[in-house]
Amino acid sequence: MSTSDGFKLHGSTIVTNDTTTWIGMPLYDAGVFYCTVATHADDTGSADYGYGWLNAKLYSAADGWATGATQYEFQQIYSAGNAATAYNNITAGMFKYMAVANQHSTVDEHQWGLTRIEYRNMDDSNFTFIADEFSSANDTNVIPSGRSVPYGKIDGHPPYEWIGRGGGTCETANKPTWIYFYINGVSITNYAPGSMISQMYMDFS
Amino acid sequence: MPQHDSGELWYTGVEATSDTSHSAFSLGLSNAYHHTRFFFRGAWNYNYAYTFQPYIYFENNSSGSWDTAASYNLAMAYGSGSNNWIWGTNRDAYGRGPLINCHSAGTASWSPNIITWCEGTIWNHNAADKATSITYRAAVQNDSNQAGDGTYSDPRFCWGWINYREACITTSMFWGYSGINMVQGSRLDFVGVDLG
Repeated sequence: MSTSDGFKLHGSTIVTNDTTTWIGMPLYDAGVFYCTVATHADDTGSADYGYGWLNAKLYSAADGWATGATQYEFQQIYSAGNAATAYNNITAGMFKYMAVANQHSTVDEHQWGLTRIEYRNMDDSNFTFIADEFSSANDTNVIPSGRSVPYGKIDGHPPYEWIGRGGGTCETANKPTWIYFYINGVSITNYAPGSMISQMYMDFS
Repeated sequence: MPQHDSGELWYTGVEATSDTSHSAFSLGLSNAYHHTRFFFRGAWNYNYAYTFQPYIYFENNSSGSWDTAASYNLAMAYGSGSNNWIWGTNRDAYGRGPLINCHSAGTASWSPNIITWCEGTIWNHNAADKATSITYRAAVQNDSNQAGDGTYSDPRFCWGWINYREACITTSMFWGYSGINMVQGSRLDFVGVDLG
């Protein structure tokens, strides 16, 4: 085995306050994001959910924000129960549900949503990613009101934790240079302190 | 492609040197890395027509033993042919990894189309305030070379996660099945994700 897969460290952004709503990262020709994120425990959240998610938008100085209703395509297979469901969104003007977050208002604070995102960013202005490692486990072992099995048991019925994989593309006039990850969810506004997004990257020229 | 400094470095691995040398792989997790990528190839040296999963345990902060408390959650998607399923557990005394195919004749008839390949990430193992989790994807082949009852011949896929729910630094990982060996050449490697 080679001692390296060729990726170089860009660095990490770690949330240290109670008010962060987005994390920005520069885009290279190729890269991998390691996302360890949760929603803030002080957010109201939803008693029915143990999770939130990250939406993402792309930016370049030449184009500004990519927000067109036909620019983004996103496909995902996911489940919070015992069968997989297919989801797609091609009209949101962003990548919806690009990464998963645990909801710290209902889930123990040492449990984190995890998503590994690998991307390619082409000169002819097509950003493409896959996110095929994805987890939002928790260990609350609490049975929510009106439910029969606890959070975290994935083959029962919602609301439980998530399994998923997906990918997407964004077409822009010029090559995007930044990605911004926005925390989102039901009554969610802020990242939990300790949330961390790291990037490895390659440049081809 | 131009060369770069690496942010991901191999740091340890283990390989079955015979068909009876290893029923499990135990590898230390380097505290120098926040996450570790892992790569597994292999098969069980066992006469059985189906796949089955390795048990996974973690060591809690150099405790000297595997944690066998009710500390493991998991979710797995798997399928065969046009069928697919989702399955999970909550607070088991062990984690369970990907589907690994069985091979009853060792390397004498081991061919590349009947090993399991699995790669994934062991997350946050050096963070004392975060649980350790594994995410992975795998491919499994099980063909007519299989012994046993011969009723199952489809290739399978699986992907999912294993969550070790303890908030601790996690120092070692166990991957195996007591009493059943892996075929010679089965191998597990760890690659550190250097976050600086």
